[in-house]
Amino acid sequence: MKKQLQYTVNRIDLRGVTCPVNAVRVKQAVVALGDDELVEVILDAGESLIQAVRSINDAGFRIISSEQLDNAVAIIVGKARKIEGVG
Amino acid sequence: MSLSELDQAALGRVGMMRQVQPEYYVMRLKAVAGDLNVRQLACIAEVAELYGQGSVHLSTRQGVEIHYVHRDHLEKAKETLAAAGVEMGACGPRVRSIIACPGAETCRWGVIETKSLARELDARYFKQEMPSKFKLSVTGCSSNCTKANENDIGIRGAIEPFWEEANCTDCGLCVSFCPLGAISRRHSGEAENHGATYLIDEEQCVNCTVCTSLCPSNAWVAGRKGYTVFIGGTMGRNPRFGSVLKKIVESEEEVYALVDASIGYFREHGLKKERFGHMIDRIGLEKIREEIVEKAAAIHGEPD
Ligand code: SF4
Ligand code: SF4
Ligand code: SF4
Repeated sequence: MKKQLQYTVNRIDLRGVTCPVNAVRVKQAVVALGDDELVEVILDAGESLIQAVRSINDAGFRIISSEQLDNAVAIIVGKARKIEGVG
Repeated sequence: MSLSELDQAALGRVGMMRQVQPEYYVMRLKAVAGDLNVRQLACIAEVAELYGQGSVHLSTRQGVEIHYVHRDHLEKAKETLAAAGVEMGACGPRVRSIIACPGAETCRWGVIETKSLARELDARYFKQEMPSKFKLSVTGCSSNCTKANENDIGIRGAIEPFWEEANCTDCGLCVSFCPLGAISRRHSGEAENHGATYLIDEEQCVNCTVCTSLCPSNAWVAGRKGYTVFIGGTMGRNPRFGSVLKKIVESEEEVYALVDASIGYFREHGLKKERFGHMIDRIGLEKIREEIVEKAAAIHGEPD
């Protein structure tokens, strides 16, 4: 069973923003998060998503969930790889 | 053949091609997998300066060419290059320089060690006589940077992803990032995995490393990995994409057996100036694939 998210979720829309700028923006957003915050990032599907996910993993951030949109994907990212009670 | 044609053929064998300009030649140099060290580069620069026009041309097959070398200087230029370990390339109906991408040594998507494989293929097959030109390429993964399926024989690193259920957090991301849309989520109703099972459509999967590299929880792992061998690719006047000879071959020795068997088959059945792929279309892919795989199994000493 998924536990309820106890986190504030911010949102950045990076549709139309290409690599590497999208990855930089994600990193900035995640680094700025407080411990009880998550960020929802919307990325174009395809190569943009692949590159951004790669940078997110490399940075050691945690991807908690994702949702497919029209030609885009919304992902919820947290600061540390492990956040208790989430995911 | 006239005397001058014979002369041309002999020069072609050692990688020298006559230019439009009478008396001038192109020296085609070999750079297996596109690699040259600085000493070789310095020597090439020196030769281009001394005997050419002070510049080089980079070919589409990772080679370096020195243009505008007068025929009287060819021998001297060749000796100078050889002293630095720069060998001549190949022209005409024979196995050409082997190309390769950087592969697993430095590229994070790489599945196989492309360079060592290219060097071994070079040692085994370079310049061998064939019914027509014959190109080999090695590429580290399905991104296909060195275009395995545009070569007479192409070898491409491949993995077969396997889903480690216990690691999966059901984030759903793989369904979105698989470039082929080959992954789907099925609701299984079991609690341990949030009720989800992730499945791959094998028909659609191109055995790349995107899912195994990007899953944030290491739930996609390489179940098997190896070399997918393509035969019969060619660009040029009558292009044809390579056909899969065998998917995810797990041993390097078996790759060589498949290459041996393919080359042997082409030598036996190929018409003069006919490309390997066009021979395949003339005789039939299924028949050829079966015979080559069988022959390779005999060479490799394994029942297939
Ligand atoms: S084919 Fe794959 S391993 Fe080779 S350079 Fe391209 S991405 Fe890297
Ligand atoms: S990306 Fe990995 S963790 Fe996420 S759903 Fe797919 S297999 Fe599971
Ligand atoms: S190997 Fe590539 S094509 Fe196959 S399922 Fe994984 S990401 Fe998709």
